Amino acid sequence: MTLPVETAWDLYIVGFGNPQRRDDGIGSYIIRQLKSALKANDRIGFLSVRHPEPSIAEALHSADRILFVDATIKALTHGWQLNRIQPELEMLPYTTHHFTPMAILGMIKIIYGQSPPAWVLAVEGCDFGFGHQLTATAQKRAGSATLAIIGWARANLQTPLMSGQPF
Amino acid sequence: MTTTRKITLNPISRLEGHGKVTIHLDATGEVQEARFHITQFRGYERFCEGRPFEEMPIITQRICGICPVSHQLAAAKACDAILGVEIPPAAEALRVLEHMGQFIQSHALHFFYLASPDLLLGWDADPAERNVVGVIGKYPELAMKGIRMRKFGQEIIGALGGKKIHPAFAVAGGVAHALSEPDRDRLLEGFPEAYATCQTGIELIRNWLQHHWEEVKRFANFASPYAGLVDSNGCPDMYDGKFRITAHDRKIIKEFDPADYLNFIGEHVEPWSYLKFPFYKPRGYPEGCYRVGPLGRLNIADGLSTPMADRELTQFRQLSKNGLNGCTLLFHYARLIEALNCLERAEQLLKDNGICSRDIRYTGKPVNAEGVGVVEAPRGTLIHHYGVDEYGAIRKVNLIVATGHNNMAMNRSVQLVAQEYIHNGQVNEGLLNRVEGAIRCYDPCLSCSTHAFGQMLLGIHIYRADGEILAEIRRE
Repeated sequence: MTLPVETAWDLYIVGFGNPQRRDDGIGSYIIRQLKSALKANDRIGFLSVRHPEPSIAEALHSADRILFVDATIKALTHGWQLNRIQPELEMLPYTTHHFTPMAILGMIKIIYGQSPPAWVLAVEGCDFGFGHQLTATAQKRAGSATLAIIGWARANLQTPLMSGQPF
Repeated sequence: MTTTRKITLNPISRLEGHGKVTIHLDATGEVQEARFHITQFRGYERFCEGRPFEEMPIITQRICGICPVSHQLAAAKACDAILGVEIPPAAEALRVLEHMGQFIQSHALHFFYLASPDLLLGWDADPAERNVVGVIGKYPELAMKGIRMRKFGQEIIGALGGKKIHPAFAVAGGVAHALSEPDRDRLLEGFPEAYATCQTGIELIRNWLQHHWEEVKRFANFASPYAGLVDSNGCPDMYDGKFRITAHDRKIIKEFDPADYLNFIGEHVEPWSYLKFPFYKPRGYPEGCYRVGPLGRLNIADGLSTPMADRELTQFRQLSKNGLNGCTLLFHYARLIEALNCLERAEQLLKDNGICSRDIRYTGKPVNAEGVGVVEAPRGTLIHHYGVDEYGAIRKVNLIVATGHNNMAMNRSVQLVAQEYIHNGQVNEGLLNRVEGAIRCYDPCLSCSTHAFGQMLLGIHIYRADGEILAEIRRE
């Protein structure tokens, strides 16, 4: 393994989920859309993985901000929701199969001394059965969320993150 | 008047898959019997019937997310036998390289994620901390090294098969993709760090064993035969070779072509577990118990095929001399020596001029009605045996998975540890962790060995003879 090159990402976006389980693939779908729209900005990193795992901490720790994207079964008012998250240090997962974005931040804080500001974009899914396509409803919600992130990224990534600034 | 009690461990922690242990106490509170139960069933041997045999590498690798490559390779070898072909040399080299990637990631996962909490934090540490996250908290640099070593093994697999879990690589007659020169060069850059991490782990476990040697000698230490594949020099071979069984003193009992396994390995069924009990037929059940996996392979070895690992084997022999090569905790040490062997082997393969050859597959029609594919998986010998009809559709499947070979040994280990540490009916969480730790030494993959999958919890329950629960430990 090569020693990591410390890349100063303005934003690192991580999508979770299994694209072979229909709307569980929302994370990777949004990553693909964002990559396509934001590819001109070489200070945005993208990663698509099945679930949070300890090995991604190394790639994320030097980012200015982190955005995690995942499907949820919870009903959300607009079909998607953006929430700020904090490092979880007190209730760390028992096994690596149950790592959460908060635990990833906690791990980064322990190992590197501090963790970047981070958010979770949750998008409501309808069908988590076997299949490669998102449902039409989930795709619409994912599209809406993606546009919001693209708009924000284009407007804000040229300037430093201000305290209290939403995402 | 005291009553007999039963202790149940449910769930068992830091294993792949799920299992349960019950410990029966007699009237004086001493351990009478202990059993390791596997309570799941999956059905691969049945639902694969009717599938085209070429699908088996793809289907059977989904038995497991930790050792899919082993299943893929055993399946591909069985398919090669059905086709009646010898695959191109480059294809074999690439399969072995993929296999080395799996050993590296699996052994790193086990040592740094699953075993190190007991070693670094102690058997009696708070369960909330006695896990990989606790190791990250107290030993962050070591934890990151272990995480990166695992990632390196996964990168080898990903470079070959397109993804690190369930790669699409080994197929009937060869492999699906050639290795590109940029990928080869990129992988070669990773070895210095991987070697350093592996050596750090070896020193850690060797020092730990030496400091805890009295406990090591008492912890599930029993004589048993050992088994695994060896090459023509008597060195463990993870991909091919003869099946060797030795006695505890390492004298060879038998060597045979693994395709003839049915003449030498039987499978016994107990009503209290879905995991069958393979045994060496000439000795019958249960006398035919033997151990596979890292400790088994080092004990059958005349040497190791690569120089650094072979030097470590010398130190291993020194530590385990005078008949102490059966100490179950030595699995952890053996596992890292194997990881070193596999790193060296992977580097040798990548430096071979032919590794990027595009001559990687033969195709043809089935010529044999049966095929047996045997490899060494990280946990021990893995056997895939298929029968096909005239159209190549699977009509029968027999799988003997690595962890299954160790089933009797795991049961015996659990009983020995329970008898050593539980007296007068007194149990605490640390003692029960030692019972779990005995199983953990074997790095069992319970999802594979029952071909099972599920979310069933494992736990520890202590029952009185009248069925009343005395104590319960569960992992939520």
